Amino acid sequence: MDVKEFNKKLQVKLREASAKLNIKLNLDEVIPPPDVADAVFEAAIDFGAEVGLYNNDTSRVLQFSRAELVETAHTRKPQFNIGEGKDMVTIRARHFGDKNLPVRMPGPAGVPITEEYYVPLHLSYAKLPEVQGIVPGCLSTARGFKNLAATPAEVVCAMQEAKLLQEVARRAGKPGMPLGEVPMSAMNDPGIIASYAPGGFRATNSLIPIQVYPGLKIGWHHLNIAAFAQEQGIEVWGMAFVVLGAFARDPIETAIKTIAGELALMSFTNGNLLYSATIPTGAIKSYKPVLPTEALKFLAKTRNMEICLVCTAGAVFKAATKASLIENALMAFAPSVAGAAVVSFGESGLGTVVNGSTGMEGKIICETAMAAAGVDDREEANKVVGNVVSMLMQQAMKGEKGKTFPECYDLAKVEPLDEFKQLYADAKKDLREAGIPFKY
Amino acid sequence: MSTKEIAEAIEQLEGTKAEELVKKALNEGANPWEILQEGIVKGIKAVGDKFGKGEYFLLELQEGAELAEKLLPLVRPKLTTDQSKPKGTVVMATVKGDLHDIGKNLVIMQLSLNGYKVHDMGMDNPSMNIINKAKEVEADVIGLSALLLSTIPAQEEVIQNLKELGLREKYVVVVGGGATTQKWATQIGADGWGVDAVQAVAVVDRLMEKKGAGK
Repeated sequence: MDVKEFNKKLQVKLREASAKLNIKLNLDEVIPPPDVADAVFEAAIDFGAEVGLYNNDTSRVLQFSRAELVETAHTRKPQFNIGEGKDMVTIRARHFGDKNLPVRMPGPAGVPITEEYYVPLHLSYAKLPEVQGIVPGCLSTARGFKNLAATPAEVVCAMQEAKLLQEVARRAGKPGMPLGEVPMSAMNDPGIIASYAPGGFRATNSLIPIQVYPGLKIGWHHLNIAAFAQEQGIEVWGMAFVVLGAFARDPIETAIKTIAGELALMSFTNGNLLYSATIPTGAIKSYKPVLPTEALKFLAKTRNMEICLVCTAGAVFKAATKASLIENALMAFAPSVAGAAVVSFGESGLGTVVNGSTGMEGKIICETAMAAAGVDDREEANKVVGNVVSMLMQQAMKGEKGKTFPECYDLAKVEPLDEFKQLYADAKKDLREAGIPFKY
Repeated sequence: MSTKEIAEAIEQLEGTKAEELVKKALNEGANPWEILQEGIVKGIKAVGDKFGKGEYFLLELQEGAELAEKLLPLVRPKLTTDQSKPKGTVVMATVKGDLHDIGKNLVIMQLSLNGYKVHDMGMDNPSMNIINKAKEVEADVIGLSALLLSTIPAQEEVIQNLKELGLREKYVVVVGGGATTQKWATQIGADGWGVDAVQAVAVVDRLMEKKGAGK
């Protein structure tokens, strides 16, 4: 099938699926009513069975039947262990209002980090008492080689990442801690697979990423990594990447398409973990459609599957600013209430500033997710989100400049400088006043 | 019947109506150049603008491109050779190692809607393949897309290779993608950078005008 034909079919069917639901989502209410979430989940199965995934490399459609997608939805592991020894954690499916705490695996996911700061910057996350595992940044150089995709440098960087992250885990006193979404320094098959060479990542301490590309596209890369993961017994850190405002026009369409892509992904990877992020096009410039989209995706899945979901929180604002801490907390709160099993990321500056994220962002998402556990009143949760959004808008007007990791941390102790410890305390105080029920 | 009606029908993606209006205008002896510029091009530009504002989505962009493909053959035979030429020929590619293409595809749609002939090379292209394609199709512009910090150096590699081959001045080179910035574009010696697909058209238009003036 020609890709243009697939794209058209995808969009026409998506609009039909959404029209059939005939739901008008109230965007002032972040966590949607349960019946909306259930209807979206069913629509996603029908849509997924009708459209499938498109393989860019073969120009063929990977088609799944409705029965296959339903089987995938109902046969995921509701819990599994990851990590080694005393640092092993059990990731468990959670649900709305769940009192069990989500697993905390923050980190500067994908942030470019120079070799010099790679260990201390990750240590700023890993050493936090709340943290049980980490996700890494991208090593921008290794032994003098600049990380360049699809070259030997990428292979070297991915292998070096594996060694350095395990060094971080040792220095944090958690040598067996799980390492999520690794490697982050390679996106091509040779680098990814090389990072599992002897001395590198192991099936017991890591999760390997496989992402369906926007527009429900995959290629040989996805199938290669899925085959590698299954042969090696590595758990998949899966995702269906959907851009809000591109193929999918609104939260309902985005949720339908994402869930359809995720079910298809889990069907060919046999994965048990999904992470999620709602990325809007440039035409969308407010939180209004983003937060309800994310909450809807979480609720639809946690109500209809026993599935381990990862909430990935991050900020547009730069590191070591109050705005970034508030924004990270905002992005972690609603998904954690809606049933995220793992809270992850906790980064700043859209993850693009070199050395531009710190453990402070990781700490705030962990504390927020822990506070969200047990919140079982939808109206109250929506009120808190509204308060935090208002607070963030006010903070954004102040135009804080932001810092990089070496500018705001004592590098010997790997602790924030006093000024930034105070900034964190102030942000947490404001968030508490906005209604986030921190216990401590 | 005015060219404004043609533009409006296209903007509303009313394909049959737009086709009828163009045929009627030609039969009534309207200036084909005006039908093209004031009717079709304006209508198509309006579709692109609506996408930029979040009022239209990818499906509408695709329908707009298909509509343009349907209408242009009606007008083209009536134009002089110069008038029927595309605004320029563009080779668009995601660079080596990068497997992301949604941004590139948006730029391709916008450039096509705005009168450029675009050759889409897809993803993961070695730099010499891109240069060879540009030579083969006698491109005016090379567009290089990359999402990640580990793939944007491949944009620089294309420019370096063009320099080494003595071909740098032959092509306008524009770069874009998630991890790129104007600063990066300047640093690697690209001619232009755009923050999104809508801006990409303005950037290419400006650079093509400059290139034409330099001839």
